[in-house]
Amino acid sequence: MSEFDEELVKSFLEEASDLLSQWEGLCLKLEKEMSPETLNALFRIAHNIKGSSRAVGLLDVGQFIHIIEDVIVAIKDGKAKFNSKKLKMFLEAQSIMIDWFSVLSLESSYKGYPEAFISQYFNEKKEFIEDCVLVSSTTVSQTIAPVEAPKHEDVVVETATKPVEEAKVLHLKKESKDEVLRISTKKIDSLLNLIGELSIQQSILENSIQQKTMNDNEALIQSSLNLSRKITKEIYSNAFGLRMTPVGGIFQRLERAIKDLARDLNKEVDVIFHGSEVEIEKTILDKLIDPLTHIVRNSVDHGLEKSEDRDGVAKPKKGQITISAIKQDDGVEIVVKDDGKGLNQKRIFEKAVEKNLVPANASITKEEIFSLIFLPGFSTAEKVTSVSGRGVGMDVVMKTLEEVNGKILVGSEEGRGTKFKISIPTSLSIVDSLIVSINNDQYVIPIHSLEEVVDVDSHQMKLDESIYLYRGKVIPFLHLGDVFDQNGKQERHGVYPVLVTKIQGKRLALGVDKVFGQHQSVVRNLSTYFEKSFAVSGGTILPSGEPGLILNITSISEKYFKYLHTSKEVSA
Amino acid sequence: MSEVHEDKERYLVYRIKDELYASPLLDFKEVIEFIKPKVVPSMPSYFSGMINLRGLIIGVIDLRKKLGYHEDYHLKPSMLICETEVGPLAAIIDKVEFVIYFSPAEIQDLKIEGKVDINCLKGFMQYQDHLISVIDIKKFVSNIEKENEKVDLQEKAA
Repeated sequence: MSEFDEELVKSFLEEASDLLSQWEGLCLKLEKEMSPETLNALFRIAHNIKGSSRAVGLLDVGQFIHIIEDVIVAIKDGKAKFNSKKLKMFLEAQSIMIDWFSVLSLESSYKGYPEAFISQYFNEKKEFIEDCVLVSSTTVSQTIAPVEAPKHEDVVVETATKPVEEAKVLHLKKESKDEVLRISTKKIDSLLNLIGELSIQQSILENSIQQKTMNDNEALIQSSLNLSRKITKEIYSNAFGLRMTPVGGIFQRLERAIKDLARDLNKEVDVIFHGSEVEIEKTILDKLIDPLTHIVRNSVDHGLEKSEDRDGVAKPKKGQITISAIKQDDGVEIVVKDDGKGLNQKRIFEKAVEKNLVPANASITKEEIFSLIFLPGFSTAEKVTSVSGRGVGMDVVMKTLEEVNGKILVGSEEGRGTKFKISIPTSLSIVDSLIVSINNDQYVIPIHSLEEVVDVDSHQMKLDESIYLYRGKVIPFLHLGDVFDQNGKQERHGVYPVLVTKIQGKRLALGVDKVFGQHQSVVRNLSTYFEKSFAVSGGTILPSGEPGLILNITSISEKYFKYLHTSKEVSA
Repeated sequence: MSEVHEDKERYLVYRIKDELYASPLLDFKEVIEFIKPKVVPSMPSYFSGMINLRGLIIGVIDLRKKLGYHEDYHLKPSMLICETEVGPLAAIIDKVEFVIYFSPAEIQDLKIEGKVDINCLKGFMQYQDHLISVIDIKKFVSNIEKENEKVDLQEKAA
């Protein structure tokens, strides 16, 4: 395949991924209400994909979509009836094409995918495709024809799964590749304008310095400097804005996940979205897809009752899942709410005891019981379903969210429903942080990882400075100075600040020498060799111009508790 | 450049204490004046810390320590910046001497167990009355082992 062709295929794939996402949206709309306009729009997309795929030489794609198009035409002309089976077919076709195109985007000459898989796909739907097709086209029956021979069928099924897996593997590889972002021209124009203004200010500055009558020009220079500063700041925030994408982009995928699962489980559900225009940095948004999908699938699977059960408890027959994004001062809050049966406090607690996650005599609050579901190895589903209930899940959700500095809270009322509240920062590039000094060096600690900062007198420490009494509770204490100093533990006297953190439900007090104050740190990526230093999550430039390290409080505390855990086992 | 050296390559020759070392010139991005590095905890002792080079955070390897010399604060050292597989790194050396043209074929491939890890030692070049060790600088500086976890929390907590 020539380079030119590859370029063509690439631009087709970009266009197609857009079209396919519209396709998904239209299908979901059709599910709600079948209207000729929506169907027409769907037809136009199919026609579009068919045309452009053939134009770039992807004849297999063209043939595939052609059959779908025929089905749509048959419905349009009233020759076939629209039903949930056909809707499922359209949605499945979309999934197939997404996988197919993701393989094609890596290897544009890829040919292995279509034949086997597609003939299986059509085979399953043969009965009703043929109805539609007989009237409209003869090429289709040719496509399906070879599969009708039984000897083919075994082969078909076997080979069918492979490309999917392959596609997944390839998909993973793709992540390290350069991404393409869609950015509105408005954003780019405003950035270009600002850069233009900045260069004007620069030439004013250069000009006034050349004229050497500095004294007269001083005011001019000053104002021009001030303006430059303002413009630079704006460029900065605009440039960050380029990576921001509206959360609405993932809402559709969530709706699809909900609807697909609900259909499989024979449940009825309405999905409502709020705040789809709220913007989050692309990298964070991408990270949110998996945890959110997991949560909504959980809601459908465990939360919502079947329609007949809902009648009995005086709820509307259709379940409801509301997903809203709300802009906050320090980030975005995403709330997933369902009106299902809610979490069963008693069962969660019993399960946790059974799994040795909490002692049986523990007295814990309702809130704390709910947070047990985020512990590794916890799952209350009595029956293991293909979707959830494998015991992995909520803990992974929590972990993934922590990676992007997010937090999750769960609230529930039995019989009324469950609510998950996720707070995430809008951007990973700037963190609100505390600048502290440890062993005469300045370090940066993200504020989101801290619960409180208190001044402590050394005599408040107990047991050789390893335990601190915090509001009547005993929490382990560690002086960060000791962690970083090669000479081991030092004695400290007098008052020093202590940072209290709470990670995965466990508190840890960390001592530092001095707290300088708050700072908005711009995160700089560190080279990989810094990973050897376990306590570091990133770098930043301090206000003094010196480089500073951003401490990874989570990994410090994890390491500390891991040690406590192993030492307990040794002594036992 | 007085003559064209077709089969020759340019090498940067630098000094640490009384020894001369050379590495291909194109392995270096730039030579900068010494900037005092900021400490990074739990890194090997020859990892002096990090510096801010025009907004970029760069790790610093003290080549003097890595080669087993004691630091000598009387000299004003320099830093060589090189782009390695693991990211940009700055190497502290005592002094940059000169750049020479040398044919790679004339480098004597002697693997002598010495201060330089044998895998990073390309050989020796004879130049005037100097004997210069040729180092694969990218490989040498980017080889940062984890120091036996002596700064580990585990001992601290004990």
